[in-house]
Amino acid sequence: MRRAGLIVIALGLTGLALPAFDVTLRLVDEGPDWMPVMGLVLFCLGVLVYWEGQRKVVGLPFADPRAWRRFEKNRGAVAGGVLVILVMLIGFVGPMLAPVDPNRIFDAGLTEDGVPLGPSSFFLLGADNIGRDELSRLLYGGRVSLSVALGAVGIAGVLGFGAGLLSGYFKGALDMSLMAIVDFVLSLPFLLVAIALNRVIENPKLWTLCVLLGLLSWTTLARVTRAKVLQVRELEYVQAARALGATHGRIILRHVLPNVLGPAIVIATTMIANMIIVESAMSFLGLGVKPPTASWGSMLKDGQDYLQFAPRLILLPGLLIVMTVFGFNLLGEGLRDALDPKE
Amino acid sequence: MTELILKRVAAGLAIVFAATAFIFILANGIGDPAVATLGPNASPERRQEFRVEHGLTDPLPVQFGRYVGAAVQGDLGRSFRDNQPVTTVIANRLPRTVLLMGMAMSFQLLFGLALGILAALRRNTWFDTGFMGLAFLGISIPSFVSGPILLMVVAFRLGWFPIGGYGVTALDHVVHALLPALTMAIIGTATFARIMRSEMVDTLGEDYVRTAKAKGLHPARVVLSHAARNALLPIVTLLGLRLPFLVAGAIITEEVFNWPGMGRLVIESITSLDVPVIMGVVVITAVAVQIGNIFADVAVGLLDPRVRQARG
Amino acid sequence: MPSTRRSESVAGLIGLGVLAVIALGIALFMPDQPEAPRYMGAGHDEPQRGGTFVFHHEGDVRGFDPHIAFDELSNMGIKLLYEGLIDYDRDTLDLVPRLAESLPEQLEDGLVYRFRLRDDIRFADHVVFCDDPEAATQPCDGREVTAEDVRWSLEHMLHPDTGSPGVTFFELIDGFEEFREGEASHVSGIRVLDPLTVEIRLQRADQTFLFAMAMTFAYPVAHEAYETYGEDVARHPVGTGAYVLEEWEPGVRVLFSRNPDYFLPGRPYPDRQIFTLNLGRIPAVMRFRNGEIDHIHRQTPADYRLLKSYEAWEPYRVEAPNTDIWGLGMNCEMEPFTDRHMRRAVAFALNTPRWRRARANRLLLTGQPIPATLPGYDPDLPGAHHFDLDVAREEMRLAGYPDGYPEPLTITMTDGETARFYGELVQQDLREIGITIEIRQVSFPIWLQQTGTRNTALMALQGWSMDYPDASNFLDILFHSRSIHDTDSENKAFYSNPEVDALLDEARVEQDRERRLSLYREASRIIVDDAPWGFTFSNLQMEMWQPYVRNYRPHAVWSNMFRDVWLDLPRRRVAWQQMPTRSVPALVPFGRPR
Repeated sequence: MRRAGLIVIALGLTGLALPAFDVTLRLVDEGPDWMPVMGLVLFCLGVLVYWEGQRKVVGLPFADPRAWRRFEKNRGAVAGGVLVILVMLIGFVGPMLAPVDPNRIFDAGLTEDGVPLGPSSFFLLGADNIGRDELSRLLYGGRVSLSVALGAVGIAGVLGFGAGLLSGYFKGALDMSLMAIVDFVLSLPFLLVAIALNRVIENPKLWTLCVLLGLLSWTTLARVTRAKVLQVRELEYVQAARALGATHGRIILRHVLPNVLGPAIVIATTMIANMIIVESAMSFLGLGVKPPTASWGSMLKDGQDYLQFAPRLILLPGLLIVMTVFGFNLLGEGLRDALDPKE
Repeated sequence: MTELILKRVAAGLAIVFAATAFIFILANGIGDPAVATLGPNASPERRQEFRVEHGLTDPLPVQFGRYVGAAVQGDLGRSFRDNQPVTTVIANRLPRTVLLMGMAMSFQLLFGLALGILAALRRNTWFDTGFMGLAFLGISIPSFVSGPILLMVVAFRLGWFPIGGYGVTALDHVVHALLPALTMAIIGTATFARIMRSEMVDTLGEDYVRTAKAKGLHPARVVLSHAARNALLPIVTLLGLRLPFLVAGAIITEEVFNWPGMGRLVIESITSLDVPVIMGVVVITAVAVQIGNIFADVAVGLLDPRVRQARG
Repeated sequence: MPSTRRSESVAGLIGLGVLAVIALGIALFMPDQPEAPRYMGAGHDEPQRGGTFVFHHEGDVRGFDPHIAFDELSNMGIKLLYEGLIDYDRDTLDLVPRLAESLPEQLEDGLVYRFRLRDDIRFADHVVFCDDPEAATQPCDGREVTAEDVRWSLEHMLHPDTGSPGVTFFELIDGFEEFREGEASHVSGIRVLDPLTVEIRLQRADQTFLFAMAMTFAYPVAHEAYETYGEDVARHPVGTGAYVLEEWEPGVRVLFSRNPDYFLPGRPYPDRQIFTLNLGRIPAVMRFRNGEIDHIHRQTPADYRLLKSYEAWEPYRVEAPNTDIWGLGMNCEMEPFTDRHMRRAVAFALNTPRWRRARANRLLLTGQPIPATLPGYDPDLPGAHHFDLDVAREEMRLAGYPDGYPEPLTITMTDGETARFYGELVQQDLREIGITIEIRQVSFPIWLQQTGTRNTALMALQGWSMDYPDASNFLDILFHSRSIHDTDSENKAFYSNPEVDALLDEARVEQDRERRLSLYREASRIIVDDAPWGFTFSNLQMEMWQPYVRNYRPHAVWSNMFRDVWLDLPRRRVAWQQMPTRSVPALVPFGRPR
């Protein structure tokens, strides 16, 4: 477990250290860079895990050594973890490795007929449909796709988890109103609202897309968390703590939270996978990130017209998307099995 | 039970209302339908005429009130684009989407159950890991990646399926729906497979099954029926939750395969700012979601042994 | 119980491996790309009757009411369903009579136009001609078309309640204002002289009026249809055209069948025409190559290049420019573009050859305000805009900014990828002469509003496609000072040159065709010299059709006009029978080939 903690710490440090290396990692027009924030989160997470490995501190669900061992034995889960780390690294470090500006259009990228050039010494993975470097776009695009997915899940996570927690614990009017809101959001056709909202906003940036997606997808998490909280709150030792006069806050923190965090994390992981697909889908329809920003989804859109003679324009971003989604799905499955084994 | 259903329905109606109101505000904020419908060459007077004609100059609450008033009488307005009643437009498109999604869900269910059962029967062997891995991979490939590739390779080059579109006769429709339904089946199979497999594994581990096997009996039918019954609940719940898709359609798949259903209608109506049609789609989808939820809840009530016992 | 979930990573790899094997198998054993047409013509020289012609569009048609419809899609059907008094000759673009017996007499120096109808025109059979249309099960005979129908049609189109977008083209008719205001119940300028003669008087002479009469807005319609169907008339067309509407499956396809009462004997040749709707260009091209549809007009860059490279298709393929112009408009009333030299510097700095390459060579670089398909276009126009950095730099020097302009300049674009793409190209090009460009993208309605308002938008990439095929439709609307308004100005460059105005006004009334053209040519020359726009390109469109489709060529005015085609049948008939059953022929009505 300490091992895992160290890995996560390292990952987090990479993210944190980025701004020191290159300030021009800011995506054009798109606002603040997510990745250092992500790096910070991972860093803290890694530290916590490492600490737990050393000696029990907080008693969080992923601090259970048995759970970790189950996880490590599950090769599928580990594979998922490896894929995820790989993708996160691409997201962090990718833009630094990109040889050129992903938005720069090169004359030499297209032949006389307007056909994108294949892989060459200059364009390592070839040029895209208007003469930009495919490799650079893939590397930058990873960060964009990940930023959107992670940001959206972050927002959805906070909203959903918080709402589910409060709803399930306090019940009563709060519960009813929150669940009514959940029902309301669920009734909205997702893609329609996402598209419409994206068009209403005057100058959409990346983070508006994150907020948008987050606001539309927190409901599943809220429901599941709520169900779990309802279960937990009936447990004997929780009742006992109430009887002994413990405050709500303490009960939530010490007893409810650790039990509920597990399923929430599992769902959050799967949500990341879904968000990647949703972002790609929206960019594919031309309604996600704005051009010329590269994201794996928008690259799919750019490339689909060239399926017949430059299939790499679809296959490369497609492969990366599949890899990412597969990895997060496996990780989610692995976490689910590790935290809540069915024998 | 009836009381519960009634309460649910009432709550559902309230939600539909709220959703409609929200989308109404949203749709009117996207842009100016006059420009979108009449095009750039239209004169400003013509645009103003259009706005007055369609009541777009009134304040929003008034417009909305008018809309609701007409809607409860069954009049969802007329499309800005071709002046057809929205109910007609939806009545044309809905069956097509239902056909497509119905076939897709059937395939998902069929393949999912088959895969799950097979994987469970051969659990812990390469078959198991192979099948489940395949299912997982399927979930990870988005339809806008697999769709165009399948269209080009299987439909065009190999000629095994029609190249998108809808067809003329009823048989045509089914044939044309095959490829898009299969594309969606690739994605949705895994969920059902996982459920079925886990239920099967549980059932196979039950004592009475072990006993039967020890005695040399083939408990196949017992296992299957038992597992099926246990799996019924989560599957039915899932189907209930997926009901809205039956109505709203898979936007991307319909786009890629040129299927003229509700999904395409969403895109077309948003692009052309056809507000009445957008509203119509939203109303139908919201209603479908509520029906799906109620269905799922009722199913839980009927099928979940714990709840059944609690009711006595 | 051993762990039941191991090795899913390996499982995933196995899954991928299986997929890879399948993919490889398909790739190796798949039949080759079809490089030639699947079905050839039978080789007849004389037009043959019969067959079904299938065409498509990416969008969805809204309706077939010629008074309302003003888009390419609707016109594809309207040209099959209706006829006009006059029409354009496909090759010369001269006006020729259709429903009229001959071109109208022009009286009083072009103030009055007298049209005489043919005496053998009938409306198509339809239930609206029965005594009780609601109860009728069979269509009743269509009646004769008279001058009264012409008048009714024009007045209905001009009526304020109809809301026709074509009204502006007929403003010059005497009595127009009073009719529109509701002060008169008829347009005084339209008079019926006898059952076959109608006379139209204008407020002042104007040669462009004939173009208005050639537009679909002026096509005679049956008033019975409007009276019976009210708002739904767009779905129940009753006209004089070659075909009638047999069936319309909304969002899917429209079925046209031959009008037995068509005034041209023996025509139209194909029995039926099928209009497939909502067909994206990727499946459309696939179906075309498969032999399922007969004409395509849009391709992705990949398909474009592929199809262009196949020699076998060469005789059945034409690449023609659209009748439109695109350019970078500059606001002549705002600094620094009040200076002609600055504008010229920008115009010659645009690297249009690079633009063309980036658009897969589907642009025709014209560099002047009249489109290449129209008379008045001069490929050798002196001073036409083209890419020349030396000239651009020289102009910058003359403007007083040899090292570049110090302030960044804003270009206002619509949202959307193409706009952004061109904006970036402009950005890169102007950087070469030291001008920094900022791109501002706004929604289309806002773009319209901002570019049309005085002193608001500095630069904007804009285009104009024709309403009717005449130079006046471009020059007058875009560059005459009369088109300048404080808001909603069509002259978005706010360009005003009295010399140009005089030339254009003279051309409007000039009856001699050659003299008219020379006036427009001269106006063009002055305009490119003044460079209110950097004139760039027209879009090229490649159309292809099956070898058995005969007598089709792209029309400069009516895109996708299939009224006059014929199908070289016998091979096609065999082809129908040979149609592979695996791809269900979704285009033969009632499931059986004929």
